[in-house]
Order: sequence, then C-alpha cells, then structure tokens
Amino acid sequence: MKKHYVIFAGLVLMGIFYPRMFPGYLSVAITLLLYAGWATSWDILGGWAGQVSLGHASFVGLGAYFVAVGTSHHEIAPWWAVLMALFAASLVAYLWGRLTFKLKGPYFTLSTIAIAEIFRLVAINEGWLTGGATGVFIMTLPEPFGLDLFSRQVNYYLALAFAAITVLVVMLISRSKFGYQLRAVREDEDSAMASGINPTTVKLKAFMLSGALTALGGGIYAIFLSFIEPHIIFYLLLSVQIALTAIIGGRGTIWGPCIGALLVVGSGEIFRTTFAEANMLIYGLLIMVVVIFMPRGIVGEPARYLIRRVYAKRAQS
Amino acid sequence: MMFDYVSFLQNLSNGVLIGGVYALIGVGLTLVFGVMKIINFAHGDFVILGMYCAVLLNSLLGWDPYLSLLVAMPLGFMAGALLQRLVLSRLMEAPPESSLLVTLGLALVIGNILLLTFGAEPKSVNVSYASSTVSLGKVSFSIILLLAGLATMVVIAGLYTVLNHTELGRAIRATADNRLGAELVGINTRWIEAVVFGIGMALAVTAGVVLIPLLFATPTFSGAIFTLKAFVVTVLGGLGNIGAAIAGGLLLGVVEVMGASYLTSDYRDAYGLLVFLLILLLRPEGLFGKTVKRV
Amino acid sequence: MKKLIAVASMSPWLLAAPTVLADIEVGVINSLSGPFAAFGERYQAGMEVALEEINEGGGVRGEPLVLAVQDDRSEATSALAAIESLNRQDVPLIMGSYASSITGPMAQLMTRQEIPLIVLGSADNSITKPGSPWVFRAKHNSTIVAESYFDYFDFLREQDDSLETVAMLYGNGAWPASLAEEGERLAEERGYEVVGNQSYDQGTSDFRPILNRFRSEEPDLLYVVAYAEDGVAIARQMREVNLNAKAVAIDTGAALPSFIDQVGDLAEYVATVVSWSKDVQYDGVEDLYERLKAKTGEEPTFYEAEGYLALRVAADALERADSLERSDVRNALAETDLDTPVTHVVFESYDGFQGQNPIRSLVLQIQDGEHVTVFPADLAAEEVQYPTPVWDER
Repeated sequence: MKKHYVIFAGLVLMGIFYPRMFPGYLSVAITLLLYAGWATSWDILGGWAGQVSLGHASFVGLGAYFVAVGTSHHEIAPWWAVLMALFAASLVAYLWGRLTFKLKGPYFTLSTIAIAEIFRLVAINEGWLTGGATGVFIMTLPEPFGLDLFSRQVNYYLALAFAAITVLVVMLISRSKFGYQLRAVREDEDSAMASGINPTTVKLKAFMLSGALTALGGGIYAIFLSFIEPHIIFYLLLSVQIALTAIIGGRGTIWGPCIGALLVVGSGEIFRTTFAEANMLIYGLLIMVVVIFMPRGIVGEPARYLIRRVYAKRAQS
Repeated sequence: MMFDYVSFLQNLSNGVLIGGVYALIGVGLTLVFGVMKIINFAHGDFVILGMYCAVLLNSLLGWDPYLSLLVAMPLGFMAGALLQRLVLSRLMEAPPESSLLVTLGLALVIGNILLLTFGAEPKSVNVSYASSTVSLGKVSFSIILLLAGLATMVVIAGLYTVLNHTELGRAIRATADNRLGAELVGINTRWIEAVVFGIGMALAVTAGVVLIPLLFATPTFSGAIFTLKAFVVTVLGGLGNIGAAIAGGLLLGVVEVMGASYLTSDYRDAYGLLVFLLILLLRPEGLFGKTVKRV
Repeated sequence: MKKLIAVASMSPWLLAAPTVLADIEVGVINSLSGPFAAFGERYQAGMEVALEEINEGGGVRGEPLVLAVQDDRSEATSALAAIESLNRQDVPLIMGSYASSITGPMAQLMTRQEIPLIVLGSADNSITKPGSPWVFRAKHNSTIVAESYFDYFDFLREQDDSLETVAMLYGNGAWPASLAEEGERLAEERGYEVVGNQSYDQGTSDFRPILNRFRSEEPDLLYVVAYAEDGVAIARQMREVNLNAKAVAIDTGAALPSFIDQVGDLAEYVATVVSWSKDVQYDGVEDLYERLKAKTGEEPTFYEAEGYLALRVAADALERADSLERSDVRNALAETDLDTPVTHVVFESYDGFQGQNPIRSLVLQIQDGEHVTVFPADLAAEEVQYPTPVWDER
C-alpha cells in the first residue's frame, strides 16, 4: 500500500509542475483531470460497490448548475455553491439509491439512465430554476486572495486538486473496513448479509460519496466552461463517457480510472487533430479493441495476471 | 366543458400506433438480452442502418421503402450473426459490462462509418402516401403508422411461431433459460447466440425501414435516441420477455401521447420514464417480468 | 476538402520547419465530426469558396491566406483545446463554431485571452449580448430572426386585419428555445394572442398530440422552430391531422432544399427566415450561388453563405489592420464596413448587443417547389402568396 502513496505523491508533484512545462496545453490537461476525478468517483459506486451507473451526468449537472446559477443569478460565492451542491448531491444520491437499489445488475443500470433523463428534462424545462434551454453564462466570479478563478492556471490547479482528492479518498477506502464491506457486497450480497453487513446501507454510502465527489468536479467544470447548457451537461453521453473511462482503465482499482482518463481524453485529443472526420470512428474502434483484448481494463488485466502468477508459484512450491 | 370523446379516441389510437413502433424497436433488444444477457447499446444504430438501407435502395433503384425489407432483413441477420461470431463471442469470459462497452464502441463505429459514406446531411424517402390517413368514423389513422403496426404484428407473430413451434425456437428458449443445461443436452449455444443476435439486428433494421417514410436518417444523432426508447420499452415490460416488450411499447406510446395531449408536451419523454420508475418501485422485474426467486 | 483539413491539421509540424512562404494563417474551429457535422460541412464549403476568391485576388497583405482548421467534435472541451492549439500557432483570429454550447465557452475563453473571435454559426443572442470587445458576429441572432417573422406577420396583417392568434411549437434546444422566447415577447408587444405554446424534446417524431391541440384552437398563424428532421415530420403530420393556418412559418428546418424534396407539395406556402438566399437583390449573388454550387455539387443554403461571409470579414479585417497583432486585428474588425454578396457588414453596439451586425434577414416562401425571397419588399424577388389555402382545397 505504501507504494501507492509514493506514486500518488510523485504524480501530484508532477501535476504541480506541469503548467510550467506545458503552459500551452492546459485545456486538455484540465479535461483529463476532470475525467480522472469523475471516473474515480464513479468507480466508488461502479467498481468498488459493483453498481454500474449510467446516470452520473446528473451529479456533474447538479454541481455545475449550483455554481453557475448560484453565482450568476443569486450572487452566491462559488465555494458556498459547491458546498451546497455537495449536500444536494448526497441527498439526491440517498433518495436515488433508496428508490433503485433493490434493482439488480442491468435493471439498476437502466434505471439510472431513466432518472438522469428526468433530471435533464427538468433542467431544460424549469427555466425559473436553471435558466432553461438557453443555458447560463458565468460572467463574473469573486477573486479570493486575488486569484482569477477564470484563468486556465487556476482552473488547472482546481481540477488537479479534485482528481487528487478523489484518488486519495479511494486509497483510504481501499484499506478501510468500509472498503472490505464494499467488496463483500460486490462479490455476493447474500453472503455479505450473512456476515452482518447491511448491503443497502453500504451501497447508499458509496453512492452518496460517489455523487458528492462527482458534483465537486461538476462545479469546477462549470467554471472551466463558464457557459453551460442543460443538453450538454445532463447528457446521457457524458454519463456514458464517465463510466467508460473508469471501465476501460479498470474497475475497482486505484489507478484504473486515471489511466482510463489518460487513454480516453488523450487519444480523443490526438485523434481529433490527426484523423479529422474519421476521429470518432477510430475512437470507437479503440474502445472495442481495448475491451475485447483487455476486458478487465488496462490496469485490471495485468493485475489479474500478476495475482494469478503469485498463486501459481505458491501452488508449485 | 364536455369531455371530447372523439379527440380522446383519436389520441388513444395514435398512442397505440406509436406504441406499436416502439414495440418493434424494443423487441429485438429484449430478445438479445433474454438469451445473451447483454445490453446492446448499438441497437438504435442498427435501426439507423435499416433506414440508410431503404434510402440507398430508393435513391439507386427507386424501390419503395417497404420493398427494401427483402434486402435489409437478410442483410441485417447476416451482419448480426457475423458481429456476434467475430466480436461479441470473444467476451464470453469477460465481466458483463464488457458487452455494454463493446456495443457502445460499435455504435460509434457504425454512426461514423455512415457519416463518412453518406455525409452528415439527414436523408429520407419521400413517398406519396406519407401523410395519408384512413378514417373510421371521426377518428383517422396514419397509413404509415398502420403499416408500421402491421409490420410489428407480422414480425411478432413470426417470432412467436419460431420460438414456440420450431426446434430452433426450443433451442433458443433453452439457452435463454439455462445456458449450461442447454449445452449439456447437446445444443450448440454458440451457434444459437449468433442466430439470436442476427434476429435481433434483423428486427432493428426492420424497424428502421418501416420508420423511414416517417422520419429522417441521421448518422450520429438519432441512434442514441432509439436505443434509449428501446431500453425504456423493454424495462417497462420486463427485460427478456417478448410479449412484455410489446405491452411495454404500447404502454409507453399511450402514456406519452396522452401526457402530451392533456398535460404539457415539454415533459413528453418524462411521462414514460415516470411510469417506468413507478413500475420499478412496485414490480422490479417489470410489468410482466417473471418474479425471480432468490436461490 | 479532406485534403485541406489534413494539411491544416498537420500545420503545427509544418510551422516547425523553416517556412519559406509567409502565409497568413487564420484559425477555424468547426464541427466536422459528431452530431453537428451536417452544419460544419456546409460552413467549411462556404469558407473554402471565400478562400479561393481571396487568394485568386492576391491574398491578404500580398500573402496567400491559409486556414488552420481544427475539429471540435461537436463538443466544448475539444473546442477549448483547439483554441490553445491555435494560440500556439499564433493565429491573428479564430472563426467558430456552430452550436452555442461550443461557441459560448469559446467566446468566454477568447475574450480573456484577447483573441478576436468571428462567430461562424451560432445565432444565440447570448453570444453577443452582452458580448465582449473580442467577439464579432456578422450573421443574425435570435432577436433579429424573431423580429423578421413578426415583421412579416405584420405585413400580412396589413392585407388581412383578421390575423390575431398565433400558435408556437419549438424544440427544446438552445436556438429554438431562444427564438420562442423572443417570439412570445414580440407577440405580446405587437398584439397577437398566443393560443398555443408547446415545446418538444429533440428526437421526438410524433407531433400529433400537439398539432391536434392546436387544431382545436384554430390559430391564424403558426410559428414553428424545428431542425431539419423534425420540420419534415411536423409538415407531414400537419397535413395528416388537418391543421390549417392562414400563414405557416417553420424556422431552420424549412430553409433547407431537402425540406422541399422530402415534403413535396405540402411544403408550399411555408415561410422561413434566412440570412441569405440565391435570389436576394444584392450585387454578385448569382456568381456566389454558382461557385457555392460548384463547390458542394448541391443546392447551396444560407449555411454555406455564412461560412463564406465569416472568412470574407476576417480577410477584410486582416487586410486593413495596422499589423497582424491581435489588438490591431480586433480594432480593424470593429471598424468593418464591408459589402459582400451575402449581406452588408458593420459591427455595432445596440440594445445590449455588442459586436453584432444588424443584418437584414430575409423571409423566404416556398412557391412551386422553390425557395423565393418575399420579404422585405425591397429585397424580394416575388410577391407573397397569401392566405394559405386549407388542406382539403389543395
């Protein structure tokens, strides 16, 4: 476990110096860090608790809308808005989980799509609350300690902090009692129950944590774009992208979602500039190839291989 | 104000007809799920493929869209079976989400191949009877929707016959119920899965062809919308149950049209989703799904 | 076209090599893949026609003009990355993009980084209202378009003072919603009664419930804002449910030639507002029409024209600028006073807008299977056909 903390510290250090080394590549980096954070948050529910959600755009949207509407319609400072969003997201996740956790496997997944779609329609139609279909601009933000929150550097460090927090949370979980409970529920709810774990409570906690962290990233996303539209922010494809990032990297692993973000966002950016119109085609093919040849994800697959080898050696000796 | 029975009947019949279209889109998805336990995210893009097939045959050979079913259905079946053999069969050992991801990738690939070959411009087939209606008393029915309903019925009847009265159908049902058991009695489940995915794709393609006189084909936009509708339809009824998918489709159509007619159309899609959530709460396995006992 | 994009996307590497030709590079961020590619392709074709014209006429400041094109994959984050990438190439200005969800964030970032932006496609009011000193839009916005429709309605009301009621139907996307908002405001301002006001989610294909409701209200005017796919379905289903109105306007969807192909006779009498049309009474329109048509091999639309317009405006400003420094280019843009076959361009600040060309929009009506300009009168090619006969008499 210690080595994970060493890797973590090294990566954060690298992250801190990145803007000095590549000042012209901040937007891509911000997008990458946001996806890394979202995928890691998603993985708490999707990987560690084993509940695949395709509705996480709702939490991105909650965070983004609290910040955008809060700052531009109600003059609430973004940090208070984010705090409110975290609370709201946990509450939504709680109710959402209460409603749907009795559903298993694909039923749960499909129900998350339905709920997220309802969120999208509410965001579009309730203009008094959200600004409606035409979206919300963030024109001015306060300047805490003289920091311009709109500047790419500040956006970058916010996104870095967000990604770091999510990874740190997952590292703490992975060795905690809660982490073992999550895995027990994922592997077999009935046996988990037999050993005194309440699966619904455990899953609810995971969902609330996952939702709140995703909303945190959503708040930063709103500032990064400084203009949000409900169609884009509550879009099914965003949910799918987040889940995809985590699964491609490797579900239920500490670094999988980050590696996934590197692959998904990085390749997307490279393909965008090199393959012109064919870029999405190549991207789709890449997803298929990775999943077919590495079904447990880029991190998950070698990890499984290593574990197997260790067991094989033990069995030999 | 007096209740307007004529417009109520008109709306109800419209809802049923629209529901028939939804059912046609959903039935292939539910069949594939029932047998292979995978959620096919490319289902809506298969529908779009059917649309482009009709568009292509119409613009090259001047075929009526319904005539192109003769080409589209077998092609769809072969493409589906091939896809299953070449791609999906490789995921047998993989975790269940893998199929979801692969079909998602497949959706991107199909959409963008269409984009590169046909261009992004929406395409359609204009038939002379596109807005014709037949009237029964004061209630009128769209010819296109009636034809779509007819196609749904024919397809469902055919599917029902195959599943219940043929050796192949028995093997398919056996595979759906218990894969291992089916293998033990000598059913080649790998082959069955290829056939099932082929049928699923043929059904989706059929839906596309039937819809083209009504709608536009766009390469990368409407696929996800059809997929979503198919999801709601199948879950409304109960995943993996064909009769239930029909009921789910009809229910969705009626709820949407009634909601849009008597409440507000802003939330049209939400009405279906709300009913869907309600059913989930009361009957987690869907309206007509089998209640699974815990073992 | 593909070749051009390939060259443009390679340009970072080309620039790294010692450049012999001192080409002037202009940044373009356009939706070439993803859901908005249908529009992106058209803008691209229009820009290429303008590019050929400019370079055949000696280029800009005596140098050939080159487009550095970046695809935004129809999403905002890619567009923001593209801005940084073009910024590294030191382009003097950037043109882009189609959707407001992409152009909005672009405008915000480019204002902060002080890079001039010429809006390519987005017509949402919010881009230039309040706008910024760095953002310029030569094409129309929601207010201008909605006003054109209601000017047209007023024009019809002068002939027939029984015109009183309007029913509005629009998609829930940003553009239809903003056009509906403006429409609602104008209806009240000009004394029309709104008897129906319904939106639908994009991807809806069954409009019968809404159209049936409208039929029972018997509106004099129909004001519909719908994209191509939906517009066709709406027109067909209007006939199906027998919904009649004295005048029908369908924005966006009805402006494409494919609308007439797909809807056939049912398209007759439908009016639509565009920024440009092949029969508008401006100098050089026919020539532009021929060149656009030769480029795409299809009937050109206002989308190609707007792409053409954006690059003409860019080239004009670069020619006049004191230097290729961005602040000089911005100043030159602000002083634009340019005549093109698409429209006249000046950038003004008025009514809360900034950097907006108060363009005159055109109302087209579909007559005998053709789009013809019918309003405003001094730019019109034909008379308006009014009223629209009821379906049973057509």
